[in-house]
Formats: sequence, C-alpha cells, structure tokens
Amino acid sequence: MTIEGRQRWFAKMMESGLEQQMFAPADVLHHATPEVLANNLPPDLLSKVLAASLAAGSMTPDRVLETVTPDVMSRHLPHDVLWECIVAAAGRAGVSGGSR
Amino acid sequence: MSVAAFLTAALESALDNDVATPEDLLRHATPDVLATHVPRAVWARLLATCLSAPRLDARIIVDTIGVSTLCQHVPVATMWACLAEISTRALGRGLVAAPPSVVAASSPVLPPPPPVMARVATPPRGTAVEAGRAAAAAATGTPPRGTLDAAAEVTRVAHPPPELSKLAAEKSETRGELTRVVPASGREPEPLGEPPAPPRAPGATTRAAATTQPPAAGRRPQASASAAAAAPASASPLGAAPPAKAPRGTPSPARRVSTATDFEIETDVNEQWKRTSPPVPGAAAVEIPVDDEQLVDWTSAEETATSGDKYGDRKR
Repeated sequence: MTIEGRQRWFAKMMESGLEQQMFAPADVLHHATPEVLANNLPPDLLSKVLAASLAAGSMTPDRVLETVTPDVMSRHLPHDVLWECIVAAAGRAGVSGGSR
Repeated sequence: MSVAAFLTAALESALDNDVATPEDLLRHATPDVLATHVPRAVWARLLATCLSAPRLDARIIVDTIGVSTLCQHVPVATMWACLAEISTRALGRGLVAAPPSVVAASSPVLPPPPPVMARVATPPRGTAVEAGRAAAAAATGTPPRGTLDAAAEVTRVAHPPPELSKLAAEKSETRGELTRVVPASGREPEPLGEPPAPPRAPGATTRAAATTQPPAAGRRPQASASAAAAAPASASPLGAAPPAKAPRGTPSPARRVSTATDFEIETDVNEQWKRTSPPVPGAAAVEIPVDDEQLVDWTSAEETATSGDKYGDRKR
C-alpha cells in the first residue's frame, strides 16, 4: 500500500459518499473545519477558495467543495479527518459495528 | 442514499489501490455468511468457476461473486466492519505501540533524576563518623563499609606506593631474608615488625644464641642460625642459593615472616628463674625466703592427718 494508493482510495470514498448522498458538503466541512483547511491547504488553494467565493458573492460549503474536491481533500487533508466524516455518515445511515 | 453503493465503491477502490486484499473481504464475508446471503445462482457460478480453476484462492472468489454483489446481499454491518478494519490498518491505528511523533521527539528532554537510594545511603562528608572510620581503617587495615573515601585512605595506608615497596624489597635482599610484599588484594596485613625484646640478664642467652652468634643486631636467633649455617655451604657471592636444611623445629625464614605473636617463649617463661639463679653456674640449691606462718605441720594438720579417720583402718 502506497501513499498514492491510499489517497486515491480516500478520494474515491469521499466521491462516492457525496454521490450517494451519505454525507453532504456541510457534513464534510463539519469535520474539515476552517482551521483544518487553513492549516493544511496550500496558499494557492486557499486563494482560489476565497476568490471563487468573492466572485459568487458568498462562501457556501458547496462552493468550497467545488474547489476542494475529493481528490484535493485526499491529497492535503488528514485522512483521519476524512475517515471521521465517513464514520459519522455511516452512523447516521444506521450502519453499526466496527467503526474503529 | 445507497450505503451499499458507497461500500461497493469504497471496497473496490481499496482493492484497486492495493489498500485491501480479497482475503480482507473473506475474513468478514466468510463461507457461512456467503452461504446464507448470496443467491443460489451466484453460488452455482462460483462452484463452476472454482471447479474449473487449477487452484483456489480468495481473489477468485471475490472476482467471481463481485464486490457489488457482496455489498448488495451481505449485511451492511458486515461489509462496514470490513471497510472499517481496512481503514484502521491503512491509518495505522492497529499498532500496539505507535512510533514516537516528531513533536514528542523535539520536546525538551529533562535529565533523569539522581537515584534516591544513592543519596540516602551516602553519608555526608567530613563527619565525625567518617573520620572515626578512616582512623580505624588506618589502624586495623580493615576498610569500613559504605565509605569510599575511607576505603581510599585504607588503600593508601595498607598498600604503600611502588617506590616504598621497591625500597623495602631491596632492604630485605641486603639482609638475606625472604620477605613478601603484601599484594594488592590486601589479604594479609603487613607485619608489625620485631616484637619487643624482653629484659634479659646480663649473661643470659637463648639456646639458639648459645650455638651461634647473630650476624646483625635485631635478628631472630633461628633465622640467623639458618642463614649462618647456609652461608658456608653455599659459598655463593650473591647469597641466592637455596638455604641449607634447618634443624628440626626451626621455622624456615622463607615460609613466613615474623609477626607480633612470635615471642620467644623459652626466654620469657624462666625469666624470674634466671634472675634468682645463683651467680655460680652448677649450684643445686636455691634459697627462697619463707616465713614461719607459711610452713605447714604435716603431722598435725587436719588435711594431712591419717590417724583416727575412717580410712585409718584400711590396709593399703
């Protein structure tokens, strides 16, 4: 298992979770807080998030995730944070057992 | 919302990215679970494939059934437990002892505190007890326990420096005696020297001294006698020849050195007799002044009377 493989795996899980509506962008930002984003995203991505929000007139979770895609999340955000998001979604979906 | 679809995507991605293996899936989707939840049509295809395959492993089973079919028919909790285990292992949470983090390594390391026992057991320096121990060690040659300074003092006293030991050895060679320097281990204490000479009458001599004259002052008569007897026999200029056989009862000088307990008993016991001996040798009688009260009448004394007692009539 390589780092790139684990990144691709988490990217796929986050993409699938969003597509299957297991969790929403707001749920993602509930774990990937602004502090986590500010401490882990590179400056160019932070600048891009701010620029897109300024252009749209507001900063929403959906708009943030338009820039911070699942691939970006898996490459820059801690995988623990992403996994906590998945676990919380599974808990809301009624999936129990073996979360940790 | 489809949890099964999410689990399918997650597990397929895990297999594609080598995060998980087919054995990980079959560890949760056991044959019993498959037999219970997988449809018979899928089982028929699985059996056919396994029969035609030269060898059977987990990958063949997973590829034949399919992750999507597994996630659709196997309970979600089971597949979720499988995904959770894979994630736990991938995130390194399954380790018993995690490696130290960089933050912990960069934290200041405090020096270890000194052992408490050492501080308690070591007495303060310069106390009267330590001085007394050092003095006792210097006098007896026995190191006190638990005091390193006192032990060092004993080492200095009991074991002289090499220069002094060398001078002592040279002095012993000039005397013709075999002395032994106390080894470093200190098992045997240093001899205290010659014993104090007892007072002698002007004409009194010992038996050994009557046969030979001592070659030097302060020598023991026995040692000098053996040395004197060996000298003419060896006739060696260096005096290193083995000593001649000493008379019976004479201790060999090479066997041991003299100590404080080697008193000349022969001359000490009869010292009073020598003082009261008549000036003329060969006289038999010695006059000792005795009072009349000290005399005992052997015929009238009760202790010595033989007449009238119960044993008087017995015939001996």
